[in-house]
Amino acid sequence: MFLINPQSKLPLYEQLVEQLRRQIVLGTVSPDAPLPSVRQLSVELGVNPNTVQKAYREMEQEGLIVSIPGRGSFVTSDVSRMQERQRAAELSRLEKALRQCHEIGISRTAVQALVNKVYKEESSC
Amino acid sequence: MLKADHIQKTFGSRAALDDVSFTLESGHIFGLLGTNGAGKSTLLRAMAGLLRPDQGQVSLDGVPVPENPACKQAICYLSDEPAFLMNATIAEMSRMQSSFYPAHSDDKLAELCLRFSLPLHERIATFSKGTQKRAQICLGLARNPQVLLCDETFDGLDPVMRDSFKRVLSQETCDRGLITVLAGHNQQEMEDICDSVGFLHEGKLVRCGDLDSLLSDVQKVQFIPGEAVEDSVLDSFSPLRVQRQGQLIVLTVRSRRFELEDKLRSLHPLFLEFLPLSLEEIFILEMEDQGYAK
Repeated sequence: MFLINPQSKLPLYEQLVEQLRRQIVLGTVSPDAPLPSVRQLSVELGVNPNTVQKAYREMEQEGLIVSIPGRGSFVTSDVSRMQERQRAAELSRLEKALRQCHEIGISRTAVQALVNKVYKEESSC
Repeated sequence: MLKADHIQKTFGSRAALDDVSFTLESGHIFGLLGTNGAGKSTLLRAMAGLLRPDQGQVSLDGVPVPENPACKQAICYLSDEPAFLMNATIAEMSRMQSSFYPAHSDDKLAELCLRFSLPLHERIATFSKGTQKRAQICLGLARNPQVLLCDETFDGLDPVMRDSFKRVLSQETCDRGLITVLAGHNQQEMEDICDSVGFLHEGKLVRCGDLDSLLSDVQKVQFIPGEAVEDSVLDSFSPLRVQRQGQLIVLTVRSRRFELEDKLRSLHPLFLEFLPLSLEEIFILEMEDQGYAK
């Protein structure tokens, strides 16, 4: 479920959160699926248990998982809400990229051409 | 709880440790980074009770460590040069150590040796240096210590064994609340496994704190200002480092990210990018700040 990329400059706990977020959006984890325990995961990855704890706390705050005392942590049952949220995040990233394009003087036509290209490819498949 | 309280140690006229204090709760992994000769080994030996500080005290759960057999049983010190009885095998070393350390477990040793691919019945003297280090780790952990003090333990291990050692540490931390101090130069491993990190330089603990806050404390940012910027403006950020390459300016500043970003936005940058800093870079910056190798 989780992997560590030592080359990544992201803090370890953020890597873990990011991976779960991604899997939820892609639909590769099922709702209510159990997560490994903090001990299991930290031993498996060779990272500090507190790091895993921190990642799980962050996931819980984001609503990605639910922790039930004595039973462990589970993927949220409301996966669609998470996917919705991820879409919004993706759009805001695109907006930022567009602003940068605008700043360096890329024309509206050029951007529209790109949009058309991507979306045409999509519809023709 | 392991506590070092204002530790002072002088060798001749040289202060090897100068007012070093910190506290480690159970289940904590602490990384000790330092320049060569900074006093890392001296500090570990003082914490193991092998060296009496001139001033200050090391205590475990409130009990002073020196001259205290119970504390010494609970603290395991892995020196950078493992020492074994001549001609002994791991099994023989284990028999000897079990008479000194009541928490020693033969089963645990057997399990660890399996994990670290070590033969129980071959002479340790015939092992390579790295394999001897592995033997030292396994014998040490088989004692079920409360505290593990590692002097450059990662540095002699191959990548596979470093990985195994990290896993074992995670396990011991979860299961028994082991307190670990890792002294050495292996910054990547420290970044992976430590809760907090201390920088030791010329006997002083010049910086010590939570790994995450240490990493977010210093920012490196590259940007191209909207219009030419005088050096005096850049100086107002009190940067640790300024590099200019044509119009591009790279600043390294001790600041929170959003504060710095706000300030830089006021220069209407054409381009602004934060570059992540590794523990190694932060260590180098800090040591330059201390006037080391400049």
